[in-house]
Amino acid sequence: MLVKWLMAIGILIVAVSAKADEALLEVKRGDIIEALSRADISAMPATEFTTSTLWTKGEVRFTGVLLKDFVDAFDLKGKPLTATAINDYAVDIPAEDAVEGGPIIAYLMNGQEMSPRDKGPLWIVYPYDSSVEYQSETYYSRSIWQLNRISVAE
Amino acid sequence: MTGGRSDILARGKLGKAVVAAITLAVLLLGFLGFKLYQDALAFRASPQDNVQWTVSRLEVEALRLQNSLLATETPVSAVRKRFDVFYSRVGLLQNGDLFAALRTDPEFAARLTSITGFLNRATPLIDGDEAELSVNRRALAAEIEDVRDDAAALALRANTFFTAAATVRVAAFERLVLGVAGLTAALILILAATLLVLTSRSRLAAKKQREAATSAARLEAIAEVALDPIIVADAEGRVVEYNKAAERVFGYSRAEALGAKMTDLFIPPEMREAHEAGMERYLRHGDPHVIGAGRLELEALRKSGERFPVELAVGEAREGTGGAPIFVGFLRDISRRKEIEAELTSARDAAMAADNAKSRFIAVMSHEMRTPLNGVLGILDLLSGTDLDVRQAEYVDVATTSGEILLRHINDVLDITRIEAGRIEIQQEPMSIEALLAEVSAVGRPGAAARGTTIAVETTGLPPSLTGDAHRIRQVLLNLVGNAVKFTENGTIRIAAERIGGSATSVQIEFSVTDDGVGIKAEDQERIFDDFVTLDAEYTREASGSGLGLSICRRVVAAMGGTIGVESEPGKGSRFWIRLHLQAAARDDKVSEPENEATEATAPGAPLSVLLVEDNEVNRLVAGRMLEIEGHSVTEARDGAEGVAAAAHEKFDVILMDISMPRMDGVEATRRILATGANSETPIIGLTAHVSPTEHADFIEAGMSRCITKPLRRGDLKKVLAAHGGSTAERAASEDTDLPTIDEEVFDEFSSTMPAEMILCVARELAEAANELSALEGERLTARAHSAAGSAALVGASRAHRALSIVEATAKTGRRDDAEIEKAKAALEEVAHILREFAG
Repeated sequence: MLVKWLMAIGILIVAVSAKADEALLEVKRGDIIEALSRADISAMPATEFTTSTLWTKGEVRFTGVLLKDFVDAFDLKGKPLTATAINDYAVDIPAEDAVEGGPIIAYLMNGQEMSPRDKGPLWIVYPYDSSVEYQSETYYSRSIWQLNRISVAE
Repeated sequence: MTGGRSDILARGKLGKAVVAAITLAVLLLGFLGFKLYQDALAFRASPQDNVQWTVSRLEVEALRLQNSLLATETPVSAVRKRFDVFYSRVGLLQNGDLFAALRTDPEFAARLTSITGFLNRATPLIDGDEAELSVNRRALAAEIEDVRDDAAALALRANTFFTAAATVRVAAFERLVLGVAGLTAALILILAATLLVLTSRSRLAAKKQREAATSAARLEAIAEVALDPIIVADAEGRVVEYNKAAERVFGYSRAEALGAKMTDLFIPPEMREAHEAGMERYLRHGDPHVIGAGRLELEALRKSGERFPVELAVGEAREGTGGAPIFVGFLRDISRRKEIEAELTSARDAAMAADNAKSRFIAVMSHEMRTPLNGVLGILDLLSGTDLDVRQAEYVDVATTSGEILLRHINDVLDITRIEAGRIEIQQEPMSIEALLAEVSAVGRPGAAARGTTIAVETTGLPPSLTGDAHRIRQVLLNLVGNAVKFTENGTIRIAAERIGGSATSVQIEFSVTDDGVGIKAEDQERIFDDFVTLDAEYTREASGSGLGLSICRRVVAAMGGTIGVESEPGKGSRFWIRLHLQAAARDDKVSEPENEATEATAPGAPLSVLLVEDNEVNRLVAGRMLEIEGHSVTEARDGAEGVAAAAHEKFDVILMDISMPRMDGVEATRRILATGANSETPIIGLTAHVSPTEHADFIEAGMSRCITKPLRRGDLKKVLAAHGGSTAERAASEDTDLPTIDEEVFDEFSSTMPAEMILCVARELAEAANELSALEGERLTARAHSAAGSAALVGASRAHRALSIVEATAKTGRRDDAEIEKAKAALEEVAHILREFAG
């Protein structure tokens, strides 16, 4: 039994480290598809805020790339985006949401990476506590977790 | 005013309440609105669908995981991905704040635990060896069957839970909405009510304004139509209203007057300061001098500078409560009225002056007429003493009678003017009414007898003595009796006095003279007391009445504070009465002797030296001749000064002194003569035309022994000289026997004026008295002796008069002098006999 546990832990470690270079996010612009690894995303300017969410317990610190920075970096400014999760759940995010103090594409929760079993690896989070505006069904529905694809909405 | 104020108060309270209610409602609405907004926000934030979707997705993800396990061709990596998604979803339910409430539900918690148990069991398998996982795929899938049930149950549970929660929230929200709606409705109601009140108020205000406008228009019309100026000024004295009449009267146009100082326009310069001061005083101290003082008369100024009198009434009004005062002046130009008043006054003055002049003229004329008349009568008197044949004697008698009637008229007129001038004096002296009535009846009886009329005297309930003016009462009663005699033939005249009221000290006495003669018509009864009224043609023809007799009576009675009146029925007779208040006399007051010239004993006088002081030549001649006829020696003086000079040289037995004379009057001359020299003890006898009691007293005070009234008659003169014969003259013998049975002078005068019937009547009266005297006693004796004495004196029965006077005096003391009664009887019978013989 102990052997079984040790094995399981070992596999877990291998799996995680194997995923270091794995593509976390596919960005599709027209026909161009770019795959961004965790390193790629971490290299981008980070934004951090603390907020409570409907789906977590208490206040949580999120770290990630501000959607505005992301849009600027990929020259997607002014374009509506479609964000898709690993289970193919997809939402449309209008271009207006990409503002200072707006949502981030979070990759750390309380300084920890997020596993797919806990809404990882990426989660679009709005700073709900900063504005009542964000505490609505519209923004809740745009808060997509287990994100792995972003494209320009058609 | 108080109603308006309480209305305002009520409006204030109501207004405050309304404002408070509206404020409260608005605040509440604001609060509820905020709540509503919050709830709306909460609704927007409420992730209902999300929750249900999330929970229901759990079953979908479970199914997908199961399917991926059952489809053997599905690679392990895909199975793992499905597991991760499912795992993540369970994590959501387990940790998400959204489901915190849901997790308290026991069934939900149990189901969730059951699913977590599966995850704990499945995770090592999923993460483990691929081969082992492949072997267990079916078993795992079978286990997921239960998980799906759990997931379905969770979805159902969540649905039920959130539905219930939503119902509660909806109910709360409904209450909130209902509250807001109710409050809104209430607010609308309040506003509607306020609007209603305001509308009615504004309608009322509009109505009041219309009324005020109507009233103002009416007032303006009144002011414009007014015939007299109306000026309204403010507190500073500036004209604020000025009507048409004011324009007409003052000459300033309305435009000129408005805003100008009242003082500068209408008030004469010298009165301006006083006016300003008055205004100031009123405004500061409320000291009204002019305001509300009623009508005032002032002088005002026209634009032309002309001054004119105005009548002014000023009232004060306030513009609203506590506002500045305004003064309303109603003026009237009274210059025309003043002119008329002045005209009337001068007309009245002129009329009064004319009347006074006429009265004076009458008085002077009467007076002036009397002096020559006295001369005529005196000469006639002298003439009658000369040897005349029967016809001449008859002519002289007629002339004398006519002269005496004329004299009476003149005296009547003088009486009237005297009374009118307020120069009548009423004496208060002890008097006997019985004696007075006896005397009056005695005087009247001869005339009455001549017409076959008898006179009776009656007294009822009289006090023993009273004070009053016997002379004046006699004058009135004689007049009334004289009238009664004139208008009664073969009848009875009753002279009565009766006490009709009063107290112990003041007694009201009614004197009455009742006859059964022709009477007076009702319409004449008031009139007869007026001046110059004569009723009977026959009366007028007799030419013996001036028509002044009753009017003199009326005046005399009024002067005594009494009343006079008449009751009469034509054909049945008349009753004249006078009512007087007389004072009760003190018991020891001496009752004055009835005035009777004839009471003086007359005797042939011894020759005397007489100084006659008289300015009127005729009078001097007459008096001088009379004295000379009597055998006296006469020295004449033409005025007081001459008289004094004459008296200085020679001693006289008697001095006759006229009163009013030029240079020095009789009073002054009397004083000087008595003060020094030979005649300091000589009796001085005044000769007067007409004398009032006070004047008489003045003369006596100056030292005169007595006065005799002109015209001078020989009889009077003889009597006076006999009485005041002076110290050196031998006194007339006092023995009865010395007195003549009949004094011829007196009898001549009597018989010459009286008809034969009259003389017979007196004779009868005297004979009756002679018979009655011995049977009478006490008061009745007194009265009878008194009246008989009067009759005796009338015809000059000196001896009888003397005896009767003694009888009367003794009887008054309560005794009887039988000796004198016998003497009187003898004398009376003798006289009666002589009279009967004379009348033949």
